[in-house]
Amino acid sequence: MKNLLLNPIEKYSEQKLLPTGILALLIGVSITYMLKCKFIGVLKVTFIDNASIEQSIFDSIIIAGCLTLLLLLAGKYIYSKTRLIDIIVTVLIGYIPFYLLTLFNIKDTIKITTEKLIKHATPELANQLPMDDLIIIIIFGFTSIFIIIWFIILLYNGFKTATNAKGNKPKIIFGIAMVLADIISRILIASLS
Amino acid sequence: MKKLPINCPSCESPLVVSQLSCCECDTVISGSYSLPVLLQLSKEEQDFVFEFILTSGSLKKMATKMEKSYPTVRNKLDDILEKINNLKN
Repeated sequence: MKNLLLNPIEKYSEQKLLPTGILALLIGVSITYMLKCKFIGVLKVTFIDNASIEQSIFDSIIIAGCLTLLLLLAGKYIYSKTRLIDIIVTVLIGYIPFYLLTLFNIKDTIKITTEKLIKHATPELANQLPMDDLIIIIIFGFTSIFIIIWFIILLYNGFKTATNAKGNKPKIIFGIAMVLADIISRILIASLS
Repeated sequence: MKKLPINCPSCESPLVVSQLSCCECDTVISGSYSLPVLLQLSKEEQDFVFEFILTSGSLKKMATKMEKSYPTVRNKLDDILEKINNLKN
């Protein structure tokens, strides 16, 4: 069970994981569209007024593409036998927790709650913060942190298995690849949307 | 089956063969012979090499048999290759 949640790539073959990952991507894109969420980078999701299915597909392809490309380059640098399919599977499976995060915005909950709290972000109204809204945002914040950690663990474990990584150097290279993928995907989404 | 010890239980140094004997005529040969490289691998690693030969070197078949993914099995093989190279040098 621990393997399934933290490192499925170690045990399960790509014949099982690739269809699962593609299915998760399709469901994830649909949920993102329906719940008016938008991925604007590898590690960044926002809640918007109007979402389009084309934009959701485009954002997901850009993010998954950037991450796959950067992790593949990093992987090839560490270990020349790194396979593209293992990196694709790592990225597709790694994103599953992130799609769970978007469920918080059912009925625009997070967007409405955030806007309500922002209205109280003045010195005069600060002591009248709506408690229930504050609790929702705190729960969302902690869940986000948990999901980001889970996402990074899944991604690193998959990367580690795909590249036979050992020691600290691959961790640094993985970190650099993640940051670069985030920057490039943000630039591409912002400029091509 | 008894497990062949490859390291000294006292100081962890690699063990050598110091005596061979014939079960038929009780002839005993004494000396100092190094263990073959494959015998210096752990039991688990020896089993892996054995399975590798039995599957005609197919990592995909091994992955299916071991219920592990292809990269995990390939990594294991690479680790054993690295260990064999270190033992040879």
